[in-house]
Amino acid sequence: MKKVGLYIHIPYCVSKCTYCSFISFAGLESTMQEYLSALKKEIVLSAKKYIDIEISTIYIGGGTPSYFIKNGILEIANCIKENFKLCDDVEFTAEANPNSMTQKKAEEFVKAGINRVSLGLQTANESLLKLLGRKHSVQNFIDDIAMLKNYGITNLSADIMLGLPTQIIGDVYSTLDLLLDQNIKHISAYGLMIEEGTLLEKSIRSGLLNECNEDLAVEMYDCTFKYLKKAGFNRYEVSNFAKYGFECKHNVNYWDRGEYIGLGVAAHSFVNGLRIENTSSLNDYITAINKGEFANINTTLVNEEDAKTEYIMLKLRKTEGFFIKDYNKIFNADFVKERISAIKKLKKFDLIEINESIKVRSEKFNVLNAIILELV
Amino acid sequence: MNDHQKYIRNFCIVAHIDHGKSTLADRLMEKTGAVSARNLTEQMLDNMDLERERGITIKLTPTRMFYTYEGQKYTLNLIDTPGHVDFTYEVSRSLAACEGAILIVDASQGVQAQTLANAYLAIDNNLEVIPVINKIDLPSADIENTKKEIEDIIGLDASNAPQISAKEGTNIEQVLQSIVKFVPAPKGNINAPLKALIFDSLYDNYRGAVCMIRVIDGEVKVGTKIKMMQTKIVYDVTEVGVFTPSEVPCEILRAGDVGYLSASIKNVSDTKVGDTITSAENPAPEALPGYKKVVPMVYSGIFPVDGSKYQDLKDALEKLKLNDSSLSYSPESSTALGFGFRCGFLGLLHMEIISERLEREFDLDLITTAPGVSYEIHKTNGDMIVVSNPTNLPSLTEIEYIGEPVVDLSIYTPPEYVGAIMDLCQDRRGNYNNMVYLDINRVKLNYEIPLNEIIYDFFDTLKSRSRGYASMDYEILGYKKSDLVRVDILLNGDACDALSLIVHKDKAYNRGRKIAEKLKDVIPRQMFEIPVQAVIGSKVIARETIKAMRKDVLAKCYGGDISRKHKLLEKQKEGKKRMRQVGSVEVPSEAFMSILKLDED
Repeated sequence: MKKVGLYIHIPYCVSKCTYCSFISFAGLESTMQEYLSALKKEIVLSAKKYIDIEISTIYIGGGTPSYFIKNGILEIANCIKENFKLCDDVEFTAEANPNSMTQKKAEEFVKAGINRVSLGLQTANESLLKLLGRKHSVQNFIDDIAMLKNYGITNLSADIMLGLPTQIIGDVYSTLDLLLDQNIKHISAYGLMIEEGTLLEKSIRSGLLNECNEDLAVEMYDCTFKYLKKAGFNRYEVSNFAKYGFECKHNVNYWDRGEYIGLGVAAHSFVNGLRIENTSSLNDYITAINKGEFANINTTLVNEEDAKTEYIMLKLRKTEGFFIKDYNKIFNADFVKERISAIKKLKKFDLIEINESIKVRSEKFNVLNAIILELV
Repeated sequence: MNDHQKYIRNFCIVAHIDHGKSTLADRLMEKTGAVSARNLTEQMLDNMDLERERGITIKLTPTRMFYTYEGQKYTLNLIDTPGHVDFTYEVSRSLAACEGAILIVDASQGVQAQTLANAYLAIDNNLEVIPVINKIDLPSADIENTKKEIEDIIGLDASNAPQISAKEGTNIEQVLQSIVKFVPAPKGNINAPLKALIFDSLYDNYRGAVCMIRVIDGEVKVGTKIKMMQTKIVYDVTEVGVFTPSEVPCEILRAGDVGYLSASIKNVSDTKVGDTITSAENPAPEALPGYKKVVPMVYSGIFPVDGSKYQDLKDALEKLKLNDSSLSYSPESSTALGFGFRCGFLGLLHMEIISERLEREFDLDLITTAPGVSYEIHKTNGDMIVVSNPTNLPSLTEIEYIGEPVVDLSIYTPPEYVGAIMDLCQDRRGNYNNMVYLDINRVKLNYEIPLNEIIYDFFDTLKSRSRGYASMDYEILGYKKSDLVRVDILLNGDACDALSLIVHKDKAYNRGRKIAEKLKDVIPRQMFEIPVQAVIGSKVIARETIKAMRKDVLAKCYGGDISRKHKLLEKQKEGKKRMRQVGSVEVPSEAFMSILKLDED
């Protein structure tokens, strides 16, 4: 039986953050009940479609899963357990925001079997939180950590952002200090991307805010890497840092080009060589599912060339890169021969390490994309 | 028989850009019924998309109209003219085909630079110039003042000038009457041997090259054996006709007529604009005056962005050449840009038009290298070679000296801009020759100046320094010994041939520095530091550094959305493909063109 990851999307938030371009809605709470029942139907549908699989990780993301309707997460978890076969040591993550994490919610999470929570802190600077449109304080975050630990959830992760307008290196250090104080075992540190159509993009375009200077953003990333390394964290992926054994298995599966099923609005699946995309319209999703159909808008069979590109693009995000013999075996190819001129160039400028495996040099992760572009 | 000519009026319309030339032409056609209002696409005569878009006329399209005045039917032939210094010769040939010119002046703007230049060009060609005041419907129209300007500045009597609005069709009748009354009838000799002036030619897939002609003396019809007086080639006429404005065959074209003829002429270059067509059996003793061989003055390399499109580019150039005999090209290869062509143009506008037509009509993405001129290289061994591509310059030790083309530049300007213009000419290595006051408001300056200095931004700079009033013209004088050097550009130590250029020694440092600075801006940061150097031989004259890229990370893959990321990567890959590889450095196509605009900042 093959092992796959399972992703569930909860597209609701108390309000839209200024940088967010993901599929999440504020003010559509009235549709939550309908969405929940549709989700459960999709779980049943897909369990019928994918037989002979075992779920090794579950990740409920959003949006804000902690903001979802009362007992919604519990019902989803129960429905998954009733319809899919789960591994014994299943990693079960839910995302949460400090503003919506309550005692009741924590209780529900535990009942649901959730054993890992990823909290969106973003920064420990109150005025930066306001700039990002976050509806919580630093204290909310600290309180939530204590509460979750109280309920026995100790595998905790926090998201932070680097390269924010007006952010200084000191903000990064104080944020990291807070996380280390709270004994957080996993940290995702994302460089801010200014996405089109977001409030933040508008503010920058209109000159209200200035984008963070590129060199400063790089320095923030380097500081984060060095500081966390000293604190015993391993950067196992370009943006992810973990104490030994606390890596996010669900996400590692993405970067290993493993298989996963994605359910809910705008969710993506990758099973049997097919990449499948669900509609990002809440209405279309509910309508389709209620008709007993899947809500796919795109199904693509990945051809060999694209599969190779995906493999390189995803695997090189990981610090360990990949074994050349693995690549050669999977694609029945000769990686070095195939891409010799790119490899020579990257070697010449000391950007990669290559022996039995290929990996990006530790201090060159800030130009990862350019390196990947050479290779694909 | 001479009655035939008595009722013909051949005229053209000249004006400053945007003063309404094409709109008036449309109205005249509408009024005379040459084209019904319904069929009139706006500005009928500009039939190339590009022309319509830029609001300029490049190719000339003549039209025949009929107008009845005091009970007598007249044939009016309108010959449209292009309005740019690159095409001065074509304009002068069109004017030579007419007896009169309508000079349009915008009542809200008054006399402008091109109004003057065109008016004088028409007067020089002995045309009767009829001023017409246009745009009287505009609230800002100042008819009295415009009249005064026409009289004071140009020296034409404007008291009877028709006051019209071409846009609204007001007083168009008056223009037609003026043409009949004031434009002289042709005075050719119908019994003399055939003499017809070619003022344009075009290529037609079925008929071959078609000549647009004005018959001066004699007559021509199907079956006439004709001879081109320059090329001496003889043809049998297969068709003659007139423009209505679409081509309509007719039996005969006689002295005074404007029309076309085709004679199974394979090549447009055999129908040279300005040449005289005569009868092979009864040839005229001498050709019409004014023939000049049109030679390309500006050269640049044209390369497909996508190297595999070389053949497409070749086919496209072949097709354009059929219609445009002034375009010349030969294959060229560059280590940076691959295979392409070195093309010769009449001037910079011509170059822009050609590359734009290639991109638009043939759907090609092109890289155009900096325009240059051709040089005469006198070698130490006594040989002389002509080089238009800087890369082909022999090594310094083999060169005795280099000759560069120089021109006699005439600039017409109101006196208040003389100082600024003299500075400009000085700066461009011009040698002052002469200054004449043509009248109180107009000065003619003459400079001997290297062609290389005026081929690209000179005209624009001249316009901006004179607030648009100055106009210019030039004539090639020949080659003159000059102290020239080749500046090469090295990227990370590797020479980029497509960026090399030949400049005067005194300007090399400045030029080299500007190019290095510009390249620093347009070449994106890469994974390593890139020195950009300008060198003469082995001597570095300028250096800039493109710092290594510091940050290039894609956003996280959210919820397994890998296709979004993959697409982004593919897009970036596409972008990379469009880059040119110079050694280990990737150079965007824009970089090759950006050095054209060095002096704009």
